[in-house]
Amino acid sequence: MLHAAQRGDLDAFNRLVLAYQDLVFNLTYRILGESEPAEDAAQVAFISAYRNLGSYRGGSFKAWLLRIATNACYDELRRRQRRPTIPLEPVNEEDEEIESPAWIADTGESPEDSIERQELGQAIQHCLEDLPADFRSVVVLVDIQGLDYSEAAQAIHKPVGTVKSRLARARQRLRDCLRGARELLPSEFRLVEESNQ
Amino acid sequence: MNSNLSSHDWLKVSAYLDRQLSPRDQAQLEERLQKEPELRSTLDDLRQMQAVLRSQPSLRAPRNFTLTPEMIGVSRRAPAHPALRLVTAFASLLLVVMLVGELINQRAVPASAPAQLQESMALEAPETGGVEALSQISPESDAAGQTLEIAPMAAADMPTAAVETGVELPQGTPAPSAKMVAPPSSAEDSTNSAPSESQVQAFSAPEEAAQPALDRVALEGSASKIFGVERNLWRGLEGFLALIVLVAGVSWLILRWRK
Repeated sequence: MLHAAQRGDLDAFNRLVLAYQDLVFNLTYRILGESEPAEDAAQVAFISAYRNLGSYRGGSFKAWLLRIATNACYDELRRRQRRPTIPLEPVNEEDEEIESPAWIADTGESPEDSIERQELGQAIQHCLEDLPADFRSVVVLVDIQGLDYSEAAQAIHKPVGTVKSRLARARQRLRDCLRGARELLPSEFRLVEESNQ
Repeated sequence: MNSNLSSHDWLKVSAYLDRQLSPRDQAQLEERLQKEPELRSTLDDLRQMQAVLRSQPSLRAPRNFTLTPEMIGVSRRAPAHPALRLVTAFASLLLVVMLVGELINQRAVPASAPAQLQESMALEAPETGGVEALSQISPESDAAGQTLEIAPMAAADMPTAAVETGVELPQGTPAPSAKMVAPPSSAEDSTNSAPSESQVQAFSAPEEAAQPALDRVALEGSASKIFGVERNLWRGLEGFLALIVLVAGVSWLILRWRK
Protein backbone atom coordinates (compact mmCIF):
# COMPACT_ATOMS: atom_id res chain seq x y z
CA MET A 1 0.00 0.00 0.00
CA LEU A 2 2.82 2.35 0.91
CA HIS A 3 4.76 1.51 -2.25
CA ALA A 4 1.66 2.03 -4.34
CA ALA A 5 1.15 5.39 -2.68
CA GLN A 6 4.75 6.29 -3.40
CA ARG A 7 4.10 5.58 -7.06
CA GLY A 8 1.36 8.20 -6.97
CA ASP A 9 -1.64 5.95 -6.31
CA LEU A 10 -3.98 8.31 -4.49
CA ASP A 11 -6.39 5.55 -3.51
CA ALA A 12 -3.59 3.65 -1.81
CA PHE A 13 -2.55 6.78 0.03
CA ASN A 14 -6.11 7.41 1.13
CA ARG A 15 -6.20 3.96 2.68
CA LEU A 16 -3.18 5.00 4.70
CA VAL A 17 -4.98 8.20 5.64
CA LEU A 18 -7.92 6.22 6.98
CA ALA A 19 -5.59 4.01 8.97
CA TYR A 20 -3.69 6.88 10.58
CA GLN A 21 -6.12 9.77 10.73
CA ASP A 22 -7.19 9.19 14.34
CA LEU A 23 -3.59 9.03 15.45
CA VAL A 24 -2.71 12.21 13.60
CA PHE A 25 -5.78 14.05 14.79
CA ASN A 26 -5.07 13.06 18.40
CA LEU A 27 -1.59 14.47 18.10
CA THR A 28 -2.65 17.73 16.48
CA TYR A 29 -5.49 18.15 18.93
CA ARG A 30 -3.26 17.54 21.95
CA ILE A 31 -0.67 19.99 20.69
CA LEU A 32 -3.04 22.69 19.49
CA GLY A 33 -5.79 22.21 22.03
CA GLU A 34 -8.64 23.12 19.67
CA SER A 35 -10.56 20.95 17.34
CA GLU A 36 -10.79 23.12 14.26
CA PRO A 37 -7.12 24.10 14.01
CA ALA A 38 -6.29 20.49 14.81
CA GLU A 39 -8.37 19.35 11.85
CA ASP A 40 -6.70 21.87 9.60
CA ALA A 41 -3.26 20.82 10.78
CA ALA A 42 -4.11 17.16 10.25
CA GLN A 43 -5.32 17.86 6.73
CA VAL A 44 -2.23 19.91 5.95
CA ALA A 45 -0.09 17.11 7.33
CA PHE A 46 -1.67 14.50 5.05
CA ILE A 47 -1.32 16.71 2.00
CA SER A 48 2.28 17.39 2.87
CA ALA A 49 2.87 13.69 3.49
CA TYR A 50 1.50 12.81 0.07
CA ARG A 51 3.65 15.39 -1.66
CA ASN A 52 6.74 14.29 0.21
CA LEU A 53 6.28 10.55 0.00
CA GLY A 54 9.35 10.43 -2.20
CA SER A 55 11.49 11.58 0.71
CA TYR A 56 10.30 8.72 2.94
CA ARG A 57 13.26 6.35 3.15
CA GLY A 58 11.86 3.51 5.21
CA GLY A 59 11.76 3.16 8.97
CA SER A 60 8.65 3.82 11.00
CA PHE A 61 6.02 5.31 8.74
CA LYS A 62 4.01 6.26 11.81
CA ALA A 63 6.92 8.29 13.20
CA TRP A 64 7.53 9.88 9.80
CA LEU A 65 3.88 10.86 9.52
CA LEU A 66 3.75 12.17 13.08
CA ARG A 67 6.80 14.26 12.38
CA ILE A 68 5.00 15.96 9.52
CA ALA A 69 1.95 16.44 11.72
CA THR A 70 4.10 17.88 14.52
CA ASN A 71 5.66 20.32 12.09
CA ALA A 72 2.21 21.33 10.89
CA CYS A 73 1.30 22.05 14.50
CA TYR A 74 4.45 24.09 15.03
CA ASP A 75 3.58 26.11 11.94
CA GLU A 76 0.13 26.78 13.35
CA LEU A 77 1.57 27.76 16.72
CA ARG A 78 4.01 30.14 15.04
CA ARG A 79 1.17 31.61 13.04
CA ARG A 80 -0.76 32.16 16.25
CA GLN A 81 2.20 33.93 17.78
CA ARG A 82 2.42 36.25 14.81
CA ARG A 83 -1.30 36.92 14.83
CA PRO A 84 -2.68 36.33 18.31
CA THR A 85 -6.43 35.99 18.53
CA ILE A 86 -8.81 36.50 21.41
CA PRO A 87 -10.89 33.37 21.95
CA LEU A 88 -14.60 33.80 21.86
CA GLU A 89 -15.54 32.55 25.30
CA PRO A 90 -19.21 31.79 25.92
CA VAL A 91 -20.82 33.91 28.64
CA ASN A 92 -24.03 33.46 30.61
CA GLU A 93 -26.86 35.92 31.07
CA GLU A 94 -24.90 37.78 33.72
CA ASP A 95 -21.98 38.18 31.33
CA GLU A 96 -19.88 35.64 33.19
CA GLU A 97 -17.76 33.13 31.37
CA ILE A 98 -19.14 29.60 31.16
CA GLU A 99 -16.37 27.17 31.95
CA SER A 100 -18.03 24.13 30.43
CA PRO A 101 -20.47 25.41 27.90
CA ALA A 102 -23.36 23.15 27.19
CA TRP A 103 -22.93 23.43 23.45
CA ILE A 104 -19.55 21.74 23.52
CA ALA A 105 -20.63 19.05 25.95
CA ASP A 106 -21.29 15.60 24.60
CA THR A 107 -25.02 15.25 25.15
CA GLY A 108 -24.71 11.49 24.91
CA GLU A 109 -22.75 11.35 28.18
CA SER A 110 -24.61 12.61 31.19
CA PRO A 111 -23.33 10.59 34.19
CA GLU A 112 -21.06 12.25 36.71
CA ASP A 113 -18.19 10.00 35.80
CA SER A 114 -18.35 11.20 32.29
CA ILE A 115 -18.29 14.81 33.42
CA GLU A 116 -15.35 14.11 35.67
CA ARG A 117 -13.54 12.46 32.85
CA GLN A 118 -14.15 15.39 30.63
CA GLU A 119 -12.94 17.74 33.29
CA LEU A 120 -9.85 15.65 33.81
CA GLY A 121 -9.28 15.71 30.09
CA GLN A 122 -9.64 19.46 30.08
CA ALA A 123 -7.26 19.77 32.99
CA ILE A 124 -4.70 17.63 31.20
CA GLN A 125 -5.14 19.63 28.05
CA HIS A 126 -4.79 22.85 29.99
CA CYS A 127 -1.54 21.63 31.57
CA LEU A 128 -0.26 20.45 28.21
CA GLU A 129 -0.91 23.85 26.72
CA ASP A 130 1.09 25.44 29.50
CA LEU A 131 4.14 23.52 28.35
CA PRO A 132 6.49 24.92 25.71
CA ALA A 133 5.66 23.44 22.33
CA ASP A 134 8.86 21.38 22.18
CA PHE A 135 8.10 19.73 25.53
CA ARG A 136 4.45 19.31 24.71
CA SER A 137 5.07 17.40 21.53
CA VAL A 138 7.39 14.97 23.29
CA VAL A 139 4.91 14.27 26.11
CA VAL A 140 2.11 13.77 23.63
CA LEU A 141 4.17 11.44 21.50
CA VAL A 142 5.52 9.31 24.34
CA ASP A 143 2.97 9.47 27.14
CA ILE A 144 -0.24 9.83 25.14
CA GLN A 145 0.52 8.26 21.78
CA GLY A 146 2.77 5.60 23.30
CA LEU A 147 5.75 5.97 20.98
CA ASP A 148 9.10 4.71 22.18
CA TYR A 149 12.04 7.06 22.43
CA SER A 150 13.53 6.26 19.06
CA GLU A 151 10.21 6.78 17.29
CA ALA A 152 9.67 10.03 19.15
CA ALA A 153 13.18 11.11 18.22
CA GLN A 154 12.39 10.38 14.60
CA ALA A 155 9.10 12.24 14.88
CA ILE A 156 10.66 15.42 16.23
CA HIS A 157 13.86 14.97 14.23
CA LYS A 158 16.08 15.18 17.31
CA PRO A 159 18.44 12.74 19.00
CA VAL A 160 17.13 10.29 21.57
CA GLY A 161 19.04 12.16 24.27
CA THR A 162 17.01 15.27 23.50
CA VAL A 163 13.82 13.28 23.81
CA LYS A 164 14.94 11.99 27.21
CA SER A 165 15.80 15.37 28.62
CA ARG A 166 12.77 17.15 27.20
CA LEU A 167 10.50 14.41 28.45
CA ALA A 168 11.94 14.56 31.97
CA ARG A 169 11.50 18.31 32.18
CA ALA A 170 8.06 18.19 30.61
CA ARG A 171 6.95 15.51 33.06
CA GLN A 172 8.20 17.53 35.97
CA ARG A 173 6.18 20.56 34.91
CA LEU A 174 3.16 18.49 34.01
CA ARG A 175 3.15 16.74 37.35
CA ASP A 176 3.28 20.05 39.18
CA CYS A 177 0.42 21.37 37.07
CA LEU A 178 -1.74 18.29 37.48
CA ARG A 179 -1.41 18.36 41.24
CA GLY A 180 -4.10 20.99 41.21
CA ALA A 181 -6.42 18.53 39.49
CA ARG A 182 -5.81 15.69 41.93
CA GLU A 183 -9.45 15.55 42.94
CA LEU A 184 -10.30 14.90 39.31
CA LEU A 185 -8.16 11.81 39.10
CA PRO A 186 -10.01 8.51 38.79
CA SER A 187 -10.47 6.70 42.10
CA GLU A 188 -7.91 3.99 41.32
CA PHE A 189 -5.25 6.62 40.78
CA ARG A 190 -6.28 8.54 43.88
CA LEU A 191 -5.93 5.39 45.93
CA VAL A 192 -2.42 4.84 44.65
CA GLU A 193 -1.48 8.38 45.46
CA GLU A 194 -3.03 8.31 48.93
CA SER A 195 -1.27 5.06 49.76
CA ASN A 196 2.03 6.69 48.74
CA GLN A 197 1.38 9.53 51.10
CA MET B 1 7.10 17.74 47.89
CA ASN B 2 9.71 16.55 45.42
CA SER B 3 11.16 19.90 44.60
CA ASN B 4 14.52 18.99 46.09
CA LEU B 5 15.17 16.45 43.39
CA SER B 6 17.88 17.54 41.00
CA SER B 7 17.24 17.72 37.30
CA HIS B 8 19.70 14.87 36.86
CA ASP B 9 17.64 12.71 39.20
CA TRP B 10 14.49 13.69 37.32
CA LEU B 11 16.14 12.58 34.14
CA LYS B 12 17.12 9.26 35.67
CA VAL B 13 13.69 8.61 37.16
CA SER B 14 11.95 9.57 33.93
CA ALA B 15 14.18 7.29 31.87
CA TYR B 16 13.78 4.51 34.43
CA LEU B 17 10.03 4.77 34.03
CA ASP B 18 10.40 4.05 30.35
CA ARG B 19 13.13 1.44 30.89
CA GLN B 20 15.63 3.51 29.01
CA LEU B 21 18.45 3.26 31.54
CA SER B 22 21.48 1.09 31.06
CA PRO B 23 21.57 -2.02 33.30
CA ARG B 24 24.21 -0.41 35.47
CA ASP B 25 22.31 2.88 35.92
CA GLN B 26 19.15 0.94 36.50
CA ALA B 27 20.73 -1.10 39.29
CA GLN B 28 22.12 2.02 40.89
CA LEU B 29 18.78 3.79 40.77
CA GLU B 30 16.94 0.80 42.19
CA GLU B 31 19.33 0.82 45.12
CA ARG B 32 18.65 4.49 45.69
CA LEU B 33 14.89 3.99 45.36
CA GLN B 34 14.98 1.59 48.27
CA LYS B 35 16.84 4.09 50.40
CA GLU B 36 15.31 7.40 49.32
CA PRO B 37 11.54 7.77 49.78
CA GLU B 38 11.54 11.10 47.96
CA LEU B 39 12.93 9.50 44.85
CA ARG B 40 10.45 6.67 45.14
CA SER B 41 7.58 9.09 45.54
CA THR B 42 8.64 10.93 42.42
CA LEU B 43 8.71 7.70 40.48
CA ASP B 44 5.22 6.84 41.73
CA ASP B 45 3.97 10.29 40.71
CA LEU B 46 5.34 9.84 37.25
CA ARG B 47 3.88 6.37 36.92
CA GLN B 48 0.52 7.64 37.97
CA MET B 49 0.65 10.60 35.65
CA GLN B 50 1.64 8.44 32.76
CA ALA B 51 -1.18 6.06 33.51
CA VAL B 52 -3.64 8.93 33.60
CA LEU B 53 -2.36 10.33 30.34
CA ARG B 54 -2.54 6.97 28.64
CA SER B 55 -5.99 6.36 29.99
CA GLN B 56 -7.29 9.34 28.10
CA PRO B 57 -9.70 8.17 25.46
CA SER B 58 -8.35 8.31 21.98
CA LEU B 59 -10.19 10.93 20.00
CA ARG B 60 -11.78 9.97 16.77
CA ALA B 61 -11.09 12.15 13.81
CA PRO B 62 -14.20 14.33 13.36
CA ARG B 63 -14.05 13.75 9.62
CA ASN B 64 -12.10 11.86 7.04
CA PHE B 65 -8.90 13.47 5.88
CA THR B 66 -8.70 11.57 2.62
CA LEU B 67 -7.29 13.55 -0.26
CA THR B 68 -8.92 14.47 -3.53
CA PRO B 69 -7.04 15.22 -6.77
CA GLU B 70 -7.97 18.87 -6.35
CA MET B 71 -6.28 18.99 -2.95
CA ILE B 72 -2.98 17.74 -4.21
CA GLY B 73 -2.95 20.00 -7.25
CA VAL B 74 -0.77 19.31 -10.22
CA SER B 75 2.41 18.41 -8.49
CA ARG B 76 2.06 14.63 -8.83
CA ARG B 77 0.11 14.28 -12.04
CA ALA B 78 3.07 13.66 -14.21
CA PRO B 79 3.58 9.96 -13.33
CA ALA B 80 0.47 9.20 -15.38
CA HIS B 81 2.54 9.14 -18.60
CA PRO B 82 6.07 8.11 -17.76
CA ALA B 83 6.58 6.35 -21.11
CA LEU B 84 5.74 9.49 -23.04
CA ARG B 85 8.20 11.44 -20.95
CA LEU B 86 10.89 8.87 -21.50
CA VAL B 87 10.42 8.82 -25.26
CA THR B 88 10.50 12.61 -25.42
CA ALA B 89 13.63 12.82 -23.34
CA PHE B 90 15.41 10.10 -25.31
CA ALA B 91 14.45 11.52 -28.69
CA SER B 92 15.49 15.01 -27.61
CA LEU B 93 18.84 13.72 -26.47
CA LEU B 94 19.41 11.87 -29.73
CA LEU B 95 18.38 14.89 -31.72
CA VAL B 96 20.90 17.06 -29.91
CA VAL B 97 23.63 14.47 -30.43
CA MET B 98 22.87 14.24 -34.15
CA LEU B 99 22.73 17.98 -34.63
CA VAL B 100 26.09 18.35 -32.96
CA GLY B 101 27.42 15.47 -35.04
CA GLU B 102 26.25 17.06 -38.27
CA LEU B 103 27.74 20.39 -37.30
CA ILE B 104 31.10 18.74 -36.75
CA ASN B 105 30.70 16.83 -40.00
CA GLN B 106 29.93 19.93 -42.00
CA ARG B 107 32.98 21.68 -40.66
CA ALA B 108 35.27 18.72 -41.11
CA VAL B 109 34.44 17.33 -44.58
CA PRO B 110 34.24 20.25 -46.99
CA ALA B 111 37.08 22.16 -45.41
CA SER B 112 39.53 19.35 -44.94
CA ALA B 113 39.12 17.47 -48.18
CA PRO B 114 40.27 20.18 -50.65
CA ALA B 115 42.87 21.45 -48.24
CA GLN B 116 44.39 18.02 -47.85
CA LEU B 117 44.23 17.50 -51.54
CA GLN B 118 46.03 20.72 -52.32
CA GLU B 119 48.61 20.07 -49.68
CA SER B 120 49.33 16.63 -51.01
CA MET B 121 49.63 17.86 -54.56
CA ALA B 122 51.85 20.74 -53.66
CA LEU B 123 54.15 18.50 -51.67
CA GLU B 124 54.29 15.48 -53.93
CA ALA B 125 54.29 16.94 -57.44
CA PRO B 126 57.66 18.77 -57.29
CA GLU B 127 59.37 15.67 -55.99
CA THR B 128 58.22 13.63 -58.93
CA GLY B 129 59.19 16.13 -61.57
CA GLY B 130 55.68 16.18 -62.89
CA VAL B 131 55.52 19.95 -62.58
CA GLU B 132 58.56 20.41 -64.73
CA ALA B 133 57.26 18.06 -67.34
CA LEU B 134 53.91 19.75 -67.48
CA SER B 135 55.49 23.18 -67.59
CA GLN B 136 57.20 22.09 -70.74
CA ILE B 137 53.91 21.17 -72.23
CA SER B 138 52.02 24.33 -71.33
CA PRO B 139 54.39 27.05 -70.37
CA GLU B 140 52.59 30.00 -71.90
CA SER B 141 49.80 31.06 -69.61
CA ASP B 142 48.97 31.59 -65.95
CA ALA B 143 46.24 29.10 -66.43
CA ALA B 144 48.95 26.60 -67.09
CA GLY B 145 50.29 27.30 -63.65
CA GLN B 146 46.92 26.48 -62.23
CA THR B 147 46.89 23.42 -64.37
CA LEU B 148 50.10 22.29 -62.80
CA GLU B 149 48.60 22.01 -59.46
CA ILE B 150 45.85 19.74 -60.56
CA ALA B 151 47.69 18.02 -63.36
CA PRO B 152 48.28 14.78 -61.50
CA MET B 153 44.63 14.53 -60.72
CA ALA B 154 43.78 15.19 -64.32
CA ALA B 155 46.26 12.62 -65.42
CA ALA B 156 44.80 10.14 -63.07
CA ASP B 157 41.33 10.75 -64.31
CA MET B 158 42.40 10.62 -67.90
CA PRO B 159 43.05 7.23 -69.46
CA THR B 160 46.59 6.87 -70.67
CA ALA B 161 45.42 6.20 -74.23
CA ALA B 162 43.47 9.41 -74.31
CA VAL B 163 46.47 11.31 -73.12
CA GLU B 164 48.69 9.76 -75.74
CA THR B 165 46.35 10.11 -78.64
CA GLY B 166 44.53 13.27 -77.67
CA VAL B 167 41.14 11.70 -78.31
CA GLU B 168 38.10 12.78 -76.46
CA LEU B 169 37.90 11.81 -72.86
CA PRO B 170 35.44 9.17 -71.91
CA GLN B 171 32.32 10.16 -70.10
CA GLY B 172 32.60 10.39 -66.37
CA THR B 173 36.00 12.01 -66.49
CA PRO B 174 35.92 15.20 -64.47
CA ALA B 175 35.36 17.94 -67.00
CA PRO B 176 37.42 20.74 -65.48
CA SER B 177 40.49 18.53 -65.23
CA ALA B 178 40.10 17.31 -68.74
CA LYS B 179 39.78 20.81 -70.09
CA MET B 180 42.68 22.16 -68.17
CA VAL B 181 45.01 19.36 -69.03
CA ALA B 182 43.71 18.72 -72.48
CA PRO B 183 45.11 21.74 -74.34
CA PRO B 184 48.65 20.50 -74.74
CA SER B 185 47.54 17.23 -76.25
CA SER B 186 44.09 17.81 -77.59
CA ALA B 187 42.67 18.86 -80.91
CA GLU B 188 43.59 22.49 -80.33
CA ASP B 189 47.16 21.55 -81.11
CA SER B 190 46.33 19.79 -84.35
CA THR B 191 49.85 19.93 -85.61
CA ASN B 192 51.01 17.62 -82.89
CA SER B 193 48.64 14.82 -83.58
CA ALA B 194 51.14 12.37 -82.15
CA PRO B 195 52.61 13.45 -78.87
CA SER B 196 56.33 13.54 -78.56
CA GLU B 197 58.26 11.11 -76.41
CA SER B 198 59.01 13.76 -73.89
CA GLN B 199 55.31 14.48 -73.57
CA VAL B 200 54.54 10.85 -73.02
CA GLN B 201 57.31 10.66 -70.47
CA ALA B 202 56.12 13.84 -68.94
CA PHE B 203 52.70 12.34 -68.46
CA SER B 204 53.76 8.90 -67.49
CA ALA B 205 56.19 10.16 -64.85
CA PRO B 206 53.70 12.18 -62.84
CA GLU B 207 51.16 9.47 -63.34
CA GLU B 208 53.29 6.99 -61.46
CA ALA B 209 54.53 9.49 -58.94
CA ALA B 210 51.11 10.83 -58.17
CA GLN B 211 49.63 7.41 -57.53
CA PRO B 212 49.43 7.76 -53.70
CA ALA B 213 47.83 11.14 -54.04
CA LEU B 214 45.48 9.75 -56.62
CA ASP B 215 44.49 6.98 -54.28
CA ARG B 216 43.81 9.56 -51.68
CA VAL B 217 41.73 11.56 -54.10
CA ALA B 218 39.77 8.48 -54.97
CA LEU B 219 39.24 7.83 -51.30
CA GLU B 220 38.20 11.40 -50.71
CA GLY B 221 35.78 11.13 -53.58
CA SER B 222 34.26 7.97 -52.27
CA ALA B 223 34.29 9.44 -48.77
CA SER B 224 32.43 12.47 -49.94
CA LYS B 225 29.90 10.18 -51.54
CA ILE B 226 29.60 8.24 -48.33
CA PHE B 227 29.35 11.46 -46.39
CA GLY B 228 26.69 12.59 -48.78
CA VAL B 229 24.74 9.41 -48.15
CA GLU B 230 25.35 9.65 -44.44
CA ARG B 231 24.32 13.24 -44.41
CA ASN B 232 21.06 12.36 -46.05
CA LEU B 233 20.61 9.56 -43.57
CA TRP B 234 21.40 11.87 -40.70
CA ARG B 235 19.01 14.47 -41.93
CA GLY B 236 16.32 11.86 -42.27
CA LEU B 237 16.96 10.66 -38.76
CA GLU B 238 16.98 14.19 -37.47
CA GLY B 239 13.65 14.85 -39.07
CA PHE B 240 12.26 11.66 -37.61
CA LEU B 241 13.49 12.48 -34.13
CA ALA B 242 12.22 16.02 -34.35
CA LEU B 243 8.85 14.59 -35.31
CA ILE B 244 8.88 12.26 -32.31
CA VAL B 245 9.77 15.11 -29.99
CA LEU B 246 7.03 17.24 -31.45
CA VAL B 247 4.37 14.52 -31.31
CA ALA B 248 5.31 13.45 -27.80
CA GLY B 249 5.40 17.02 -26.55
CA VAL B 250 2.05 17.89 -28.06
CA SER B 251 0.50 14.65 -26.75
CA TRP B 252 1.79 15.41 -23.28
CA LEU B 253 0.37 18.92 -23.42
CA ILE B 254 -3.01 17.62 -24.60
CA LEU B 255 -3.13 14.98 -21.88
CA ARG B 256 -2.16 17.51 -19.26
CA TRP B 257 -4.75 19.95 -20.50
CA ARG B 258 -7.43 17.25 -20.43
CA LYS B 259 -6.63 16.46 -16.80
